[in-house]
Amino acid sequence: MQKRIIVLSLFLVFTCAFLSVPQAYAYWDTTIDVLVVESERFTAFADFLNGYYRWLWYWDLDDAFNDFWSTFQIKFALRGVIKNWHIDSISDNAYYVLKEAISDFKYKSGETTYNGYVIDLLIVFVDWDEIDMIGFSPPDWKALIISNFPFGSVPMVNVFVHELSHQFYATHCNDYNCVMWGGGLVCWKVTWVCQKHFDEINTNRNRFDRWVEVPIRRGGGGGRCFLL
Amino acid sequence: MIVGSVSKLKVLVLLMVIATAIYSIYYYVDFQRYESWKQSILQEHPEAAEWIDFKSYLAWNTFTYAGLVLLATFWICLLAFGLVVRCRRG
Repeated sequence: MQKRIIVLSLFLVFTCAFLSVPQAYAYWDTTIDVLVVESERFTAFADFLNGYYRWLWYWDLDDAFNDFWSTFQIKFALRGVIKNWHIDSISDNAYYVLKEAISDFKYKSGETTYNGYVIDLLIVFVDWDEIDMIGFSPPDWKALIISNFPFGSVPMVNVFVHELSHQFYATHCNDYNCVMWGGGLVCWKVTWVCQKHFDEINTNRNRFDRWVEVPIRRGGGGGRCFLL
Repeated sequence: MIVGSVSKLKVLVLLMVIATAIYSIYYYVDFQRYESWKQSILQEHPEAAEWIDFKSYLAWNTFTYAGLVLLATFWICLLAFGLVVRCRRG
């Protein structure tokens, strides 16, 4: 009898102790939450013909995201589009235009929030002559800029795949058959051909991962045992 | 055709040869300018050099591209015209 009382007491003590622990949990968020910013002129162009061009453009962006998912199981998720961003920079140097976007939106990867999501990657779309390059994608900034060029005559999905690959430290190569070919216009191939790029992307695949701590559950005694 | 004088076609061809020569020099100088501009950008931001995607020269200078198309069209037409005339003459 005495033994039963001891076991029961221990059981109660441990149960109460377990229930008194705050009910918080944490996990690795592996989805790359993307925020898109469109310049004023890009928005005007994309809205042309009742938004047909915009539909094509984002279709290609979605295709690029799907390529990353099917090849590397890296998941991108578009969390919002900010339209009509005004560029103040007098320079058309992509470096400064991207810096201006980062500054205007106070963007910091893993901290900036939009629509309730923490943003991991900022993508800026500008019109064809607003920057002097096709794109610029410095991985350390976790932001990239792409120009609307040359009006979709190059499959934009390739440009997206190319620039997104840079975010995983994929470098240029000399193989014209590879999407990471760096000789001017981004080539017509959609796939990564060189093993080097697979390795580069796979090595850095977790660079956008975030450790998310969900706060203590609210209400009902703050998640503690009702007896205590 | 007026005997003893130069035909209009020959004058046109001569003019186009001159235009092509001037255009070639312009193209070469402009291309060098583009290359030096690229180098200046790379020197200005050496840390970002690997992540920059430059436009190709033709995409960068659409005027040059248009001129190239016009000149090429002319020479192709001339070549085709010459071939047709030759064929007709047997």
